[in-house]
Amino acid sequence: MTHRRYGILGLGNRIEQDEALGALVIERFRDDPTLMGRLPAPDTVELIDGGTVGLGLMPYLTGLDGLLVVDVINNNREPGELIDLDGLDVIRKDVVMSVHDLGAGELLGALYVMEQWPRRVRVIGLEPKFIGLGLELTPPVAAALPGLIQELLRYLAEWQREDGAAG
Amino acid sequence: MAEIVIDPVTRIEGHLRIEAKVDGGKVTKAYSSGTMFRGIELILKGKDPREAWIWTQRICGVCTSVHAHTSVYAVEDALGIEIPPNAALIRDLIAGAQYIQDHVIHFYHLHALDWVDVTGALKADPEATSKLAQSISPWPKSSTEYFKGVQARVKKLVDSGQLSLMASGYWGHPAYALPPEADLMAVAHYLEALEWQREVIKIHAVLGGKNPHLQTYLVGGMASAVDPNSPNVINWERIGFIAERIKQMRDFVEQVYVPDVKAVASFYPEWWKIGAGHKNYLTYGAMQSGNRTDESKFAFNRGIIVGGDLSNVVKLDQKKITEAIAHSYYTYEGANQALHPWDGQTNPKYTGPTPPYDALNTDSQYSWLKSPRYDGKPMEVGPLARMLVAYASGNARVQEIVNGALTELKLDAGALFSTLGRVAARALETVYMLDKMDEWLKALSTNIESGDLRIHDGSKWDPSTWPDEAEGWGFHEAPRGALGHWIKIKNKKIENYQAVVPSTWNAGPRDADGVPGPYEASLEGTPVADPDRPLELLRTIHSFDPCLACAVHVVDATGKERVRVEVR
Repeated sequence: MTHRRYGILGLGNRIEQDEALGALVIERFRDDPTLMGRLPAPDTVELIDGGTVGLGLMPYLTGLDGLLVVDVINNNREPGELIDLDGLDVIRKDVVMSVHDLGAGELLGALYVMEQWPRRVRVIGLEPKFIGLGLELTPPVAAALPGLIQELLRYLAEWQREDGAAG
Repeated sequence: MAEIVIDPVTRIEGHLRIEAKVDGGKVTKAYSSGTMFRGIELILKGKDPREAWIWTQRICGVCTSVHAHTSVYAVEDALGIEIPPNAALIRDLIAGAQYIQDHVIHFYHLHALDWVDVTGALKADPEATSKLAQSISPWPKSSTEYFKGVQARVKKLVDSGQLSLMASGYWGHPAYALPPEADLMAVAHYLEALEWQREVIKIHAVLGGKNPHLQTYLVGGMASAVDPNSPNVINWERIGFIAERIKQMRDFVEQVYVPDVKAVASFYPEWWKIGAGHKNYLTYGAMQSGNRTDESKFAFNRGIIVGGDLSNVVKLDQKKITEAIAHSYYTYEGANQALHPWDGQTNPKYTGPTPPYDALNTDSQYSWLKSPRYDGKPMEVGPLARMLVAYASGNARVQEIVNGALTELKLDAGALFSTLGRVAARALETVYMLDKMDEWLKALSTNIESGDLRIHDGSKWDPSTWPDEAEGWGFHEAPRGALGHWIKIKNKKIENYQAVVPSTWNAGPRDADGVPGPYEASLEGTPVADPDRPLELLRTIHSFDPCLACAVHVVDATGKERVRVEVR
């Protein structure tokens, strides 16, 4: 099967400590070719540093076979705990997502109402410890970062396997 | 007496909290609070001025390019660098595309649902909707079949419980006044605008390398090469691509956006009388095509209007700008008097209540925003300020556009001092901006044709050419209003950097004399039909297009309410 496309969309602001998570994950992949090398077909995976932008990212996400949205997630857990949500749950109207209206939840909502929902969407991230001015992740979030990356690799490998078998 | 708290205000970027006291069905006092600290200034201290724009792009998640734009101008002003015309034109084209996309998104996706009831659209007659749409615009997507299809789509979304980004309106609120057919038409255009914005913002990818964080800014010009004979740079093919996108923008703005604003406004005549506030307006003027001093060349006029007096445009002197902190969570070394941004300080000192809290202490400090003042007075900035200053300054094209709309709506210019005045000004300046986009693209093409391919002046790139000390002011009119960056450079490093953003002007708290900021003043007197669902307050706040501390966002999976409304 050719022309499969998957995306990792990292959201976050680099100057707000744990809020930088998504952006830092993208940076990790870009800086470490061996990470990408561990994917069966790295050229099918797009890395998107979304910053904090919402609707402007739509063009990058249309038509994907699988989308992993990486962000810090408030879920009243221990700092650094891995949280993994189905994209459709994220846009349900009774689970309001981002604190501003054109954030990750609204971006996904827009893809949904435009009938351009990627075939699979997971929203994966870590519970933050602290969001405030600063350039470093807090220790529990930094310690959990490698596990988060493993989880992203696992999803991509699983999707590629499924699509390969189907194709 | 009821007390209304909205925290955070939805359909805006960032964190804004409004506390309003309501008596006899009207707001008597309002307090506006930015609830998050934004400390980019502290991060910039000691950095190389040439990389300031990379950091300032991260101030805001949406208008990234406006901070890059303003930052490079600030450094160029400090170092006395004149950039080549092509670089200025490309900066203006990027800024113009940002305006047009931003204003359309603001109207449909951040503001329209204050006026349009999505659930009303389900009750509409598609045939009558088609007639309505055809009566106000030649836009081709207006058949009965088309609106039937949109209605089915909305019904599917509502039934599935996946209303998603449309879920935050106060559906069924008595203050909604549109007939169902107008609701359906507006919802159809809401969906079309999502598709449209995706296409037109590709101008940024062509001129800026990538979106959202553009990569082609450079102190001294731009990093995007211009060469008609080379692939992968700005060449004829790309100029043609941009021209097509501008055409696409114009079609949608003239045939959908502007007619919709007029149609929606016609059902809310009382909102031309609500929400004015101080009637003080300030613009820096902008799109200066590279020149920093000749105000007559600015696409947007520079000046100040005080107390709604359109017969007198006051000349702006940036040295009269100060920021006060009497009600802000900061401290200044020495006395706490208001400071000019060159001498500005960012020393956070939180004195507010420990969250979660019920009420701010509005007698003392209550906001992370400072209180910008011009000559001691609060000033509203944004599209309405720009249109009024241009109108009052004798800008012929702006007068033509504004007078045309006023005649059609049977209003006089005084009606513009209002909540709907802001909405209308935003739409009308989008039309003005389209003309400018055409002009700038034509000028760029003419330069290329004549062989002028210069894009960067590197003569002062090397820090050894800089003076030991320098100070500069970069100004811009961002979509949301006057944006200024003030920089001091010492020993080749940033000594001080202060950004005064549009929403600080508009949403800042009271000053030492107790004079309210523009949001606070504009809310006074606003009628509130149902204090549990303060839709009317959102109309006025959203009319400013708020954008606060907007560089932070967290996904919230606990399902908690975003708007907490309390009546005490």
